[in-house]
Amino acid sequence: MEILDYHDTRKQTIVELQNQIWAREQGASPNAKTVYSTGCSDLDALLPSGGVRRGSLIEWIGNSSASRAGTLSLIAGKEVCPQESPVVLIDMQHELFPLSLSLLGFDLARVILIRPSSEKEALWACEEALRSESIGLVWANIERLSSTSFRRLQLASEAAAGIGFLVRSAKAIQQPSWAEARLLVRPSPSRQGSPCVQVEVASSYRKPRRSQADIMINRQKGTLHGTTTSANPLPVATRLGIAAAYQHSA
Amino acid sequence: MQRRINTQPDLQQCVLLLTESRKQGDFVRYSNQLARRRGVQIGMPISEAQTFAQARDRLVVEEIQPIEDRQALVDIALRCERFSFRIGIEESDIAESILMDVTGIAHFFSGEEALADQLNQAVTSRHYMGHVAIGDTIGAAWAAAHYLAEPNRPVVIPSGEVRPLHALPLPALRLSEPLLRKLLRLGITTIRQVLTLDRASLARRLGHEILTRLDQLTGQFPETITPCHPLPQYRARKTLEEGITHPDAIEQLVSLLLKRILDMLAPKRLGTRYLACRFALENRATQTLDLRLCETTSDPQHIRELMRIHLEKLRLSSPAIGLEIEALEVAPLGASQEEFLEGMTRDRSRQLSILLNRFSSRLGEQAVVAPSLFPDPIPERSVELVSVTGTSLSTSTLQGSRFHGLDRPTALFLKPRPVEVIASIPDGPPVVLFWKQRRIEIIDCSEPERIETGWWQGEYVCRDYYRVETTDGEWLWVFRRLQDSRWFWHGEWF
Repeated sequence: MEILDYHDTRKQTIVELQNQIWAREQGASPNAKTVYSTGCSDLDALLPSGGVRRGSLIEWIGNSSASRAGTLSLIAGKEVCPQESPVVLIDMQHELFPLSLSLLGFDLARVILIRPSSEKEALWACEEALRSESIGLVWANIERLSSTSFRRLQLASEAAAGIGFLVRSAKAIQQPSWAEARLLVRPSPSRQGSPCVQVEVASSYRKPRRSQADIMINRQKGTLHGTTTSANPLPVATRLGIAAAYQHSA
Repeated sequence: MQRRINTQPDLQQCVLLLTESRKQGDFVRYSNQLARRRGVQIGMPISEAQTFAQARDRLVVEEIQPIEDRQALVDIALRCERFSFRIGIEESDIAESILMDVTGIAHFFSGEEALADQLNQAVTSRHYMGHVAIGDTIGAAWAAAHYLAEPNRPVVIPSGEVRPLHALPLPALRLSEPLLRKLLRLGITTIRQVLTLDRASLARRLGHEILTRLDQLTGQFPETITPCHPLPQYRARKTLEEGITHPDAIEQLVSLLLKRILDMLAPKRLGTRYLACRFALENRATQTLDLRLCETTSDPQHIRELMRIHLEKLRLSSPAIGLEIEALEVAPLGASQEEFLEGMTRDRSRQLSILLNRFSSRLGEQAVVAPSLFPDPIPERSVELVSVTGTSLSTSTLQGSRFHGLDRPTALFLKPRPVEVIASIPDGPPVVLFWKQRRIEIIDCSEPERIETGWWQGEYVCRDYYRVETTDGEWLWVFRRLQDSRWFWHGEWF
């Protein structure tokens, strides 16, 4: 006679319940199951859905003002935004440089830049944009966000299957989050002239495949590359040059 | 000048000078035949021109009247309506030309030459002397009329033949005065000389105006004629016996007049992009409220909702005793112009335009913008932010080919931050930056990138930009101002 393991049954029940809650919380929209890649498998692995799921918010926390959390989120945002859909950028600091957006590959004809004068206005604009099905991506650098406001944003993104990227400073780490994933971005020393970042999952709705990744931003192309798993992002000619230099020095 | 002489023919016997006021003083803008015979030249200071009048001459000096002159031009244009389906007046502060679209009309008059002759007769029959020219483009016709045609000798530029115009002087391009002066200073006097220059360098050094005018001459850049025929007015007005202040009462009044306007537009399948509300107040003041939309609409519910947002912010200085609402930009419904609405389904595009209207109404037009790039090397001048409900949006990526990926910082400070610097060698790259008691150690620095403006571009700017990497791995964008060797922190890859 088989003995029923109480602990196994309980664990299984919890997993089933978790899955049911997860399925229900994915929102009513049929689009909510669509997952977009950020263009970097290492970064995708940090997200619970293996990419950016429609109807979700991702929080990018920078540990300093020039941590590259904003740059990283913009590059990932360009990848996840459907080509024909406009991008709404809510710039509280009024410092976002449109020329750099163009260089990173954004089509400026599809960029709507909002420069609100208060956080209240920024929150309102963010919620309205997330509620609109016509917007491909909502990006905002809102610093102060109460739990209620955050929840409102999350419900708005769920309702219209919108994608929201919130870029915030390290102070936000102490505050509650309703984002699907909260990523902590730290700058790390450049490699071959391209900036690198260390991304760590600070909190996540579900357990991601990985909890940390080192990512390099290609300075020439503005693309993301994992420095641990993905192929060498340098052009073949440069790699050959480096190899030759090694051989020569040897 | 002709209008003045037509209304008062005895002025022909006087030395008649029409003047315009500039910062430097009064100058001759027009003169009659007698004045020209005496030696008066256009552009001469009025004090100098007066000395040419002889003792027996009657000297009459008057200021030009642009509004009356324009109205006289419109009157002539309306009398020439039988020659064209679309007649307008040139868009200039002091308009002097009537523009007519005669495409496909010449054969009614046995050819373009005959059409030009008849036009000339129509003008001279009203005691005016006109310079008539027909060309492929507005630019070509304007140049030919001003520099090739003579009174009673119209000119027709054959289709595709713009070469004769290349020999014309630069003013034939309709350039602005400052630009014209710059080019003349550089020794460029004809259109042909401009055409031999590199377009990219022309745009970089002198701005886009010159390229636009050249392209308008050749027809590569479209130019339209705004009809001068009086347009129907869509206006509703109501005067009240007693002043109102209650928001609900004001909203009700607005809704009432709005309905009247939309009822006028509906049978013609028209919508509006711009509604102007003028409140007449008890203290005899007038307060206005403008509602601009990013797409033509006639949806009463949507307009009412936007109006409500605007009314919430409206503070009347006194009770309102009247209201007038006018639809100023009226166009057929569905005539969407904005680039970001292209390629979307009708439903999505409508959703987006409603959203943008809501944003603009609540946050203000200047807070909801579309970025547009300029080929200006100075970072703060390389971008223009245009309101999404503005009249025109143009986006260019002219600098895209020169720079790549992360060549420019993602955050550019509104004002460069002055920093103190320690450099390893005098005038060399920085090793340490100090900003607001913060010490920033630099471990790597890029080659300097020199950014400077030419003397003709106004304020002289000469900077050496460096991308520096801090010990924490952050990338900052700093520059040294070469005039005084001061350092500034201008942006960062945030």
